[in-house]
Amino acid sequence: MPLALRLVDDRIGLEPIGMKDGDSSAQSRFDAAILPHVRSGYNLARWLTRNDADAEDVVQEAALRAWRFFRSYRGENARAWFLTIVRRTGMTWLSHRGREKDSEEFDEAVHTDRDDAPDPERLAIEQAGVERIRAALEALPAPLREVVVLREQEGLSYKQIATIAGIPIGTVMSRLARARSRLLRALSAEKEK
Amino acid sequence: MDCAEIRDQIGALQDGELDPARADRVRRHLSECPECARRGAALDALRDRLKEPSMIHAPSPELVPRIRTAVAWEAREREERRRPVVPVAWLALAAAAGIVIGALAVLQRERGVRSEALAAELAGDQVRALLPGRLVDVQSSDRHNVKPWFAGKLEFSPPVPDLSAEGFPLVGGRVEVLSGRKAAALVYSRRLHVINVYVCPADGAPGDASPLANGFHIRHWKDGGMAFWVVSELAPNELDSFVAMFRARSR
Repeated sequence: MPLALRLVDDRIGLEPIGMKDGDSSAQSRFDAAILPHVRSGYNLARWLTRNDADAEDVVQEAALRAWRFFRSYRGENARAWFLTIVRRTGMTWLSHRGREKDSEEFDEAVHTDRDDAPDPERLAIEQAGVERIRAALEALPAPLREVVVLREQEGLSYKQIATIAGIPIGTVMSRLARARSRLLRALSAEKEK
Repeated sequence: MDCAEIRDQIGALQDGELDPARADRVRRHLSECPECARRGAALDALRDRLKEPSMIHAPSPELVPRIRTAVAWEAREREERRRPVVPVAWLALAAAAGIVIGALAVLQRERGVRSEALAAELAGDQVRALLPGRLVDVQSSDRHNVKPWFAGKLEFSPPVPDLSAEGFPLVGGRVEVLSGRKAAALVYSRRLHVINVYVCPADGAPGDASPLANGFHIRHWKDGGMAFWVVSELAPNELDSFVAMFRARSR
């Protein structure tokens, strides 16, 4: 992008064109509350959609929804509030996409994790390349992937994750356990591949 | 508790999400069971890897400005819907004035109705064009790249004058739909401002547009069988000199 265009963008960023006084205070409150969390929203959306362009679309769409519903924002944790909207938008996006390619099917009831020689696991994980870890996380079904991202990367509590994902805390705990178990297995078992 | 049951709780223990009684039980088991302890170490290693900066995706620097533009656009539309229709006093005044200019208005009506709709459309295009990634489909400051680009996409060839020496460098071009007709959109810049020039054959083209819509200035003219509209937030005098140069250079 040439400098001239980037500057145009920056200028818009600093002063939205044609902003009316009536909305400017709502808009500056929105900017202050929500924009700092675009990064978190993008990280979640990126892991859900698994590609850059779709993640940006999801976050922009989520931000517009957040703006439309900003009146219902009551000053609670803005990051959790925005992530809830990003997550819902991302999940809707996934459902329109139909079945996810490359990721496993998700079935809440299935519980088949067997213990397979955990001894070299830790070493295998410490030595695994970033690409392999990324691929392992992307291969998880979206409901498992999102709890991992929200917990490990966004550092949210089980309670916050439960609110964002709309599931009970016990389910957060069991999904996390399953997700981690699958990641351990993927990273140690597929070492030779 | 057996190992299988413990294994599902090690992660929660490390997350500090177990109640004290359960946490105690799991800790005790870990101190006695080397296999589960190894599992705990593996989970710790996994957590560290998942948290690595290279595992966290960052948006492009354009995302936040893009969101702000989109929100500003929505805010403005909302504001316009909310604006009161017309105050009563103005209605009375308008009625009086209406008698005087009524005859003229009849002549101008068709054109007038169209011009406001067209102006709104042009202003809308302008705002959308300013969203990152939407401004140009062919990006070049060289008219010899931009002009041929349109050849495969339009049935006409818009003039693409080089105005860089006058301080209006070419940015690129794209194809737009204007009142249902394909038009070439040429993009020039002036300092930080963007100027969009829409061009289509004059035959059957929409006519003049209101000179101002949503803070954008609009100019319209016809030359050599082509109709032109220029849209920008540039000051009117600068826009007029741009138009004069554009017309002079495209003859």
